[in-house]
Amino acid sequence: MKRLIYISGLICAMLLTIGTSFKIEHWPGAGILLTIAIIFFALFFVPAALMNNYNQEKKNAYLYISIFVTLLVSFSAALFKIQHWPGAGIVVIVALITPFVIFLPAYVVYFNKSPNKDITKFIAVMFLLVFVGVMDALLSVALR
Amino acid sequence: MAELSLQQVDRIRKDLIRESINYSHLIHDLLDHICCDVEFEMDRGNSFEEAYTNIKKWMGKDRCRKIQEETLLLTSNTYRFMKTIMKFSGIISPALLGIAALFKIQHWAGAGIFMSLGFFLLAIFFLPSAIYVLYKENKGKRFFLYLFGLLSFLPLTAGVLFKVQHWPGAGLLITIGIGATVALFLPTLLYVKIKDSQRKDLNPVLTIGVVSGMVHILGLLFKIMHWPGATLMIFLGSTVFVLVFLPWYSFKVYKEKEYVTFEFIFLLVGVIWFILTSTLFNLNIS
Repeated sequence: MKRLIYISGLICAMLLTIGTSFKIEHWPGAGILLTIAIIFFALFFVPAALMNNYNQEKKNAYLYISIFVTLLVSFSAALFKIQHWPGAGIVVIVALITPFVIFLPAYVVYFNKSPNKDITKFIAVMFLLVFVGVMDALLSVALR
Repeated sequence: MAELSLQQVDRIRKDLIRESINYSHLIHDLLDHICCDVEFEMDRGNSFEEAYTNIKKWMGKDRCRKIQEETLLLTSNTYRFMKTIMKFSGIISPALLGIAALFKIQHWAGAGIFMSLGFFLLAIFFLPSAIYVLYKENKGKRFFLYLFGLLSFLPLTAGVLFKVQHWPGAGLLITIGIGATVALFLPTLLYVKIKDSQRKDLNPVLTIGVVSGMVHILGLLFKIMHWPGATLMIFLGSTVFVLVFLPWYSFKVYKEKEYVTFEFIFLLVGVIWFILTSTLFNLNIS
C-alpha cells in the first residue's frame, strides 16, 4: 500500500506538470491530463496518504479531516477554473476561505493540545498559510 | 559504577549539537544529565549502545529542543513577548489576506483596507518576530539564512500588495524580492542543508532540487516582467524538478519510515499547489 501511495503521488505530479506544459503551449489533450491528475490526486493520493499516516497513532482525526477537506476544495477550485467549468466562481470563493475557516482553527486547537509544541513546525505552517493568503490576493486581481 | 569513555561523551555532545542546543550553558547541563542517565542504565547490565538508545527512546524526539525552548521562555522576556506576537500576527494576517481576496473577487467594499492591514501585520509583526524566534532557537548558527529570508520575503509581499492596490513601484519590489530569493536565500538554504545533513548521499538530489526550483522561480519573474525566455525556463525548471528530483528524492527517503510521512505529503501537496498557481498566472498573463 505504501509503495502504491508513493508511486501514485509521483505519477500525479508528473501528469500535472506535463498537463500544464501542454496547456501553456495550447496543445490538445491538456484538459484531460490535468483533470485526471487533479481528480486522482485529490480523491486517491491525499485520502490514502492521510489514512496511512493516521493509522500510525489514530489520534486527532479532526486535523486529518480538515486537511483533506481543505485540499479537496482548493484543488477542485483550481480544476474548475482551469477547465472553465460552470460554477467555477462559487467553488473559488469557497476555496479562498476554507484554509482559514476550516484548517487554521483545527491546527491551532491541535497545536495548543499537543504535548510537544514544536515552534519551528508552527512557523512553517504559518508561512505556508501566508503564501496561500498572498497567492489568493494576487489571484483575486488576476482572475477578474 | 560504569563510566563513559571520552569518545562516548563526545558522541552524545555531537548529537546534542546536531539538535541545535546552543543556548549558553544549557548544552553542558543536558550533556551531564544524559551521561548520568546512560551510566545508570549501563549499571543495569546494558551496553553503551543499548543504554543510549533506551535513554533516547525514553526522552522522545525533540525533547532537548523543547527544554531549550522552555529555558528561553523562562529566562527571556523578549523571547516570550516575540513569540506571542508571532503567534497572533501569524494567525490573523493570512486570514485577513484570505478575507480580502474574497471581498476583492466579490467587489465588496473594504477589500483594500483588509488587504493593506493584512500585509501591514505580516511585514511589521509576523516576519520580524518569526525570524527573531527562529534565530533565538538556533542561536547564531543560521543568521544569514534568516537575514536573506527576510530580505527576499519582505519586498516580495510588499510588491504583491503594491501590485494589487495599483501603487507604483510594484514591479521593482517583486523583482528585488525574487532576485534575492534566487541569488541569496535559496543558495544559503542549500548550503545550510548540506552542511547539517546526516545523510551525505542526499546532497546531489537536494542540489538538483534547489537549482531547478531557482530556474522555475526565475522563469516566473521573467514572465511577469515580459522578458524573453520565460516559458523555456519555467518548463525546464518544473520538468527537472518533477521528473528528476521528486522520484529520486522519494526513492532515497522511501525506506526511512514504515508509513507515508507527513513530510512527503507536505512536499507533494506543496509542489502541486505551486505548479497550479503558477499555471493560473501564466494563463492569465499570456
